[in-house]
Amino acid sequence: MPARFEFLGPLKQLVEGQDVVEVEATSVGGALEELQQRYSELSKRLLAEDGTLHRHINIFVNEEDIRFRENLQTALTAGDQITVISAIAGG
Amino acid sequence: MTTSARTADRPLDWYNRYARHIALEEVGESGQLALNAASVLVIGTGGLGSPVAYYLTAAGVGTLGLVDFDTVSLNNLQRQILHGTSDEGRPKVQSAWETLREINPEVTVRLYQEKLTTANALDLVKEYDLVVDASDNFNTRFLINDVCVQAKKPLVFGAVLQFAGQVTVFTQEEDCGCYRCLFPEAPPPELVPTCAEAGIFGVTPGVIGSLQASQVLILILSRSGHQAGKILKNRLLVYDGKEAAFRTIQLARNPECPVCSQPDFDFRQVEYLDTCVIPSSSETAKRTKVQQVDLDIAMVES
Repeated sequence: MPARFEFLGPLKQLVEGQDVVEVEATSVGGALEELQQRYSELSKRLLAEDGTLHRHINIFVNEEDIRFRENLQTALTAGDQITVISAIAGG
Repeated sequence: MTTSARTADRPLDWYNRYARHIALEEVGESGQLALNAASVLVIGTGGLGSPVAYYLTAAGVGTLGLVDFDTVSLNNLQRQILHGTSDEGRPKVQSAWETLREINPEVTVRLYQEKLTTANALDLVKEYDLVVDASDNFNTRFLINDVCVQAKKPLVFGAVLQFAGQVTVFTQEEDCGCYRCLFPEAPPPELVPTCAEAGIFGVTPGVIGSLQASQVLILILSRSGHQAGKILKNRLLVYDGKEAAFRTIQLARNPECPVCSQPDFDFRQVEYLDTCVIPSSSETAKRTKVQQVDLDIAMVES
């Protein structure tokens, strides 16, 4: 069973507006590499030049912030729910 | 005509004005009095600040501080409902005050036609019970977060872009994270567009600002012993206007947060430009502390 990614808010545009994107991968970083093959703008918007997650982006694996786990090395298992959000500032 | 029994020595108009609150078991007379005694600083009187100020004024929050340096533009009016066509070019705080005093003249409204800066932020924030972030840029949002952490003022956060919105509450309690726990730094400007660049569906700030106002009122009530509802503490409410859907994401305090986990953090050491990076301890030691300047604030009280 693949992991299920949800990109919320403006980030949804990165995956062509899809509600859920399914990925077979063993880590969050691996999943993002896989998604990059499908969606060319994705890495640039989520990752800094050094390959780390931009600090205005948050990824939650089953509601847990990957910054408090192993960042992009955080392991994925079948059926994990991954939520990706970006800081926004408009008012 | 009032629907509640008059039980104390308060004017009949008070019972009439707040009858629907008083009728609520979760509010009642004592809750309404708590709202009347509260003071709230609203930073920004635009898309978010409009519904926030409208509802807090109508609810009878005793004192509202409004901070906004800007003037009304025609392109504001699609969403910034405090202001009208004839207000174009006028200070937003002035326009806001004129609207609000018509809704509820019993509310004291203090106007600060100023930019929020490291020089004035602490003096402003410490005068109020809690703060609402209704600003429109990352620099101001990080400054608001950092000064509220330092002053230990509860912060009701809201932000919008296009059809999306976010709401949460940073209570400044030991077990509650801050905005920097969630997003440590602002994005490079080219990666997250502003509303001017990307657009904003006019009602989006109406939804999010109304939720902020609701959280403010519930927070005031809960702090005065009334169980009116749940606070979005350590929870981020995410709104998708295209899907008419809400999601709640569980948040956690970052034990290594450079702001809320550092007892000696001083927001005046931070340059709130671009990415709002917290300087390292060695950089902090070298940096000359920003001079506190006397406030020069245009203040009007109704």
